[in-house]
Amino acid sequence: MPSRRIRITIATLLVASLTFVILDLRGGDGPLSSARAAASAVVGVVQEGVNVVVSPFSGARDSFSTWRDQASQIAELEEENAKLSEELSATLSDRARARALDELLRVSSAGRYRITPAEVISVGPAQDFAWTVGIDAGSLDGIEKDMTVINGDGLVGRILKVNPTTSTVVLMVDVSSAVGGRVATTEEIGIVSGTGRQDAMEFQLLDPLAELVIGDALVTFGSRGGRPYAPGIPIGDVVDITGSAGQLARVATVRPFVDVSQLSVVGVIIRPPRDDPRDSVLPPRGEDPEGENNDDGDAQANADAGDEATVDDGVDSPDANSADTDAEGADVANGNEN
Amino acid sequence: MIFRQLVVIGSLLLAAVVLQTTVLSRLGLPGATPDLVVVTVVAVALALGPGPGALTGFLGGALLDIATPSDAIVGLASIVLVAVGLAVGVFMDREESNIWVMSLVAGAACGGAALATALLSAVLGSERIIWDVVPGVTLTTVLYGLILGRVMIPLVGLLSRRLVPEAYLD
Repeated sequence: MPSRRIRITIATLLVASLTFVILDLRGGDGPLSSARAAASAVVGVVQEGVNVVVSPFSGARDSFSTWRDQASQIAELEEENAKLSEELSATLSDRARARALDELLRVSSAGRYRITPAEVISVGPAQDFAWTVGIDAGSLDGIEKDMTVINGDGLVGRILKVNPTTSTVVLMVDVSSAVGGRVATTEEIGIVSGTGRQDAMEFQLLDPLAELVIGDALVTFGSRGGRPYAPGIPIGDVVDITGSAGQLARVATVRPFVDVSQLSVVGVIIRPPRDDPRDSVLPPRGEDPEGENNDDGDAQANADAGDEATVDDGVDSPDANSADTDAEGADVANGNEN
Repeated sequence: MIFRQLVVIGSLLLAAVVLQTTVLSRLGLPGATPDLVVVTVVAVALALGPGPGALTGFLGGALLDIATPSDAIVGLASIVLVAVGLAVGVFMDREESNIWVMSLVAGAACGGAALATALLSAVLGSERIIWDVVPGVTLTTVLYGLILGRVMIPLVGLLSRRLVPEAYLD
C-alpha cells in the first residue's frame, strides 16, 4: 500500500489535472494560454532543431509498409540516422524542399495569395484522433488565428493556435473542420467536413437538386475577409456519392488533393487575393499527377471550356447571384466552424 | 534528492515529448503513434517507484497536452498517466529482473492509456473518436510500447541508478 506521502502527492496531481480539464473545457483565454505559450517556446525550439536532423526521414514512409521486421527496422534506422542524415539532408531533402516550394509558389501565384512559407515540425499522435500539426512560424512571422494553410497540392487546413514562433494547424480532414466548398466549373456550393480519416471528407451540397458527378473537383468558396478560408483553393475530388438528386441525405465522399500524412513545406495565406481566383488554381486535369480516372475527352473539353469561360462567367451569370451567395457562403463557412 | 530527481524526470520527458512529436509521429507507421511518453512514465515508475512515477505521468501528460501540435483536452493525459505511473509503481516489483515482463507492462500501459484517453475524451464530448479504428490503434500501440519498453526501461534504470543513487538506498 502506498505511503501517506504518496497518497497526498497523487491526490494533488489528480486535482491539478482536473483543474486543467475544467479550465480547458470552459474555453476562452485562461491561464492555460500562457502555459501553452511557455511550453511551446521551450518544446518548439527543440522540435525545430530535431526537424533539421530528421526531415529526410519523414518521407521514408514507404519502407515501413511491411509489418515484419519493424523492430529491427526501427533499431537499424535509428542507428543509421546519425550517419545518413548528414549526407541526406544536404542533397535529397534540399531537393525535395525545393520541389515542394516550387509547387507552393505555383499555387500561390496562380491564386495571387500572399503567403508566408513554413515547415511542419511536429505532428500530433494518431491515438488522439486529432489531425493537428505544428509549424515553425508564429505571431512574430505575422501568423494569426484562422489563416488558411496550403501547400503545392491545395488546401491543408487553418491556423488553430498561435504562439510567438510556432503555430498549430488543424487539418481539413479533422472532425472539427468544415470548409465552404464550390464545385469547380459549376456554381454549386456546399460544406466539406472532415471525418477524421485522412483519405475521405464529406461534401454536402446546399441545393439537394444540384448536379454532381464522380470526378468533380472542389475548391474553397472563401469566407468574408478570407478567414478562415481564402477562396479558390483546390480541396479534393468527388470519389463517391450516396443518395440521388433530391434526397436530403445526399452526401459525397471527397478525396483531398493533399496527402496529410506527408506534409513538409506549407504556406500560410497572410492576405487573400482581391478577386476570387475561381478555378484557376486547380491543376489542369490531363496532367494531374494523381492520375484521375476521368481522362475521357469529354472531361478534358469541359475543363478547357471552364478555363476559358472564367472571364465571361465572372461578368454575366454568376455575378448576378455572387453578391447573394457570397454573403451566404461566408456565413455558412463561419457558422460551421465549430 | 528531490531536485535531482526532478531534473532527471524533466529532461527525460522533454526528450520523450520532442521525439514523439517530431520523429515517431512522422514515421507513418500503421495504426498508432509509438507512445514514448507512456513508456517513459512506466520506466520511471519501475526505476523510482509510484510517487516519482505519478509525478512523471502528470508532467508528461501536461507537456503533451500543452505543447504545440496538440488539440486534446488539457489535463486528460495527465489524469491517465498519473494512474499509469501509480499503478506500475505499486503493482510491479522494483526488483523484477525479467526485461520482457517489464516491456510487456509498458506495452499494456500504452494500450490502456490509449483506450482510457479515447473513453474519457468521448465522455467529455470530443467528437473525434472513431470507434472502429480504436482496436487497431490499441493493438499497435501495445506492440510499439513493448518495443520501446525494451529500449527505454534499461536506459532509464541505468540513468536513475547513476544520477539518483539515493533512491536505491532503502
